[in-house]
Amino acid sequence: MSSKLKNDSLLRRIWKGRLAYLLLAPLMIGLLITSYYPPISGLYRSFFDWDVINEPVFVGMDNFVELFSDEVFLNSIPTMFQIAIPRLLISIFVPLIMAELIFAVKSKKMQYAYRVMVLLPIVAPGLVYTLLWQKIYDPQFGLLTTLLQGMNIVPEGTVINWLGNKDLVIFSLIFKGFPWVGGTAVLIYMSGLMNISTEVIESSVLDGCSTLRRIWHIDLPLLIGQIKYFLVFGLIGCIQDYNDQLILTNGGPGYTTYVPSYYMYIKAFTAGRMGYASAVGFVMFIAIFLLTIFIMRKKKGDD
Amino acid sequence: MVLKKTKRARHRTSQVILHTVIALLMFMTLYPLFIAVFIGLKSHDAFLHTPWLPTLPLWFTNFKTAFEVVGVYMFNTFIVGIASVLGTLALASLSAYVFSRMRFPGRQLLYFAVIALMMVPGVLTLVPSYMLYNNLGLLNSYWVLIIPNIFGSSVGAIFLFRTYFDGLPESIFEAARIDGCTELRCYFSICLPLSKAILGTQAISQIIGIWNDVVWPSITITDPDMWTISAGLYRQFAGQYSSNTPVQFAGYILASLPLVLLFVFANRYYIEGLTTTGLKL
Repeated sequence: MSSKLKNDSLLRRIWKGRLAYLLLAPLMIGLLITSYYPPISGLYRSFFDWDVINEPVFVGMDNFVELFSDEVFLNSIPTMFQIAIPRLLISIFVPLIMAELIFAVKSKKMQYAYRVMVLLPIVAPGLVYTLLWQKIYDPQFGLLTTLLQGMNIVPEGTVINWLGNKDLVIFSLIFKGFPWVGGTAVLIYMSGLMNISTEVIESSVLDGCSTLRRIWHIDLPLLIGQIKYFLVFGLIGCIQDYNDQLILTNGGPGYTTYVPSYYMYIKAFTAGRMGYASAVGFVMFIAIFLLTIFIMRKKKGDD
Repeated sequence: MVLKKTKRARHRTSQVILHTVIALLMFMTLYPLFIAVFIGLKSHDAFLHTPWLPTLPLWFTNFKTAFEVVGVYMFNTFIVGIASVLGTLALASLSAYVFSRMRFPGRQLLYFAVIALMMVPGVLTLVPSYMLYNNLGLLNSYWVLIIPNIFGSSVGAIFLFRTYFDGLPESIFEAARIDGCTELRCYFSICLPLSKAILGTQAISQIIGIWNDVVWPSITITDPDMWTISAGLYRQFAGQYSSNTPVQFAGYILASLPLVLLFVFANRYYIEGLTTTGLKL
């Protein structure tokens, strides 16, 4: 009896919520087609020999077997970490230092001016920066080679192949964007710092607490939420990024800057092997998923 | 008295050092942009002699030459950008309102179904999405750029908007409902006007995303007249003028101008939105 009543009321509640369902319908239908269907079909097609023209053919685990015996792919994994980990650390801590510097400015007017200036780099498309850095890294006439010659660190007329030398190229990709302070991360940190009440900061000064100690004991614990946000999304972003390979190095010299996502791109859009590329995507998805869970778990453990 | 003075003096020196350090970092950060501007204004000969310092005379014809190619990309980016942003703002704000203010069975489940998509990485969807739009016959049209952007951006936007809408006091909506406001009326007349800053933040970051997108437009569009700005620069322009760096840079400047204007007019909204939402985990 009571369960029937409950059922009744659930149906009635659904009927009462009909406007809500109607309003959500365009979103849900759109997401089903454009955002749910592709990843599911990708997982499914990774077991197929699939290209743009022919009918897909089921090949079982063949794609995965081939993938894990391809040295280009296997070597691309450590390369990815070599590039992603320094970049991630830079993208988390350098903006934090910049935010602390701007936060320490006493004049409110200047502080606002710096906040606007720090955002300025976003006015140029990221691609334009990459193409600019391509010129900066020009082996013979580039800004970096010119500067090193001007400061007499290297002799006049030296050619430094920043992106073509396999011992230098990883460093060059990490160094790109130096001094890495511009962008939205600084502002997000600053908003966290501004939430710290002035009383806390003033009393820390009165107690003779140095700025560095305050940063370590008060600011950092309060910014931990932002740091974790950048850590999780930054890591996911870094793992998948291959714009520099696409524009600057083409994965070279040789295969030295190949990362898994670039490998996938080449297999799909140069070789036309969509099924095989889907298998790469599948493997990367699992890796990213496990890594995210690992970080989230660790985070809970810390709390 | 003396002690106070030295303390103040020390304080002032530390502020001077601070300003110097910040100014230096800012200079190094913005120097590539200056480079782009003055190289874009050089003649080809001047570039060959002194590439990294400003020179006279200024060579404005570079911009004209560059615009003949880049203008089309900019037009395409405007079309795609405006359609995508308007679509996302409408769809995401309405959906976020429903999730935030209306009560119905399955609300949390549906919300979770939307938010879970944030965890699906781009590498998993790139290839099958390409095949989907290929099968739908939408390659080489504006639709292949607009449709995925509207729905893809909506996921993050709904998260952003819902967090913001949840923070609005329920009492306003309560009062409006008692006065006979329908839900749609509450959304249009109360929720949206209170949320201009957050809508602006979303619009700006989405436009920046469209401006920056290289991979998707360059694989789904093969007709050079339909490329958006980054894809066009990468696929065609940079190669076409690879031997004439000043024209190349003039093109990069042109490509950045709309974002500069957007920044000049909307940086207040953007900064406000970024600093009030406080992204964190």
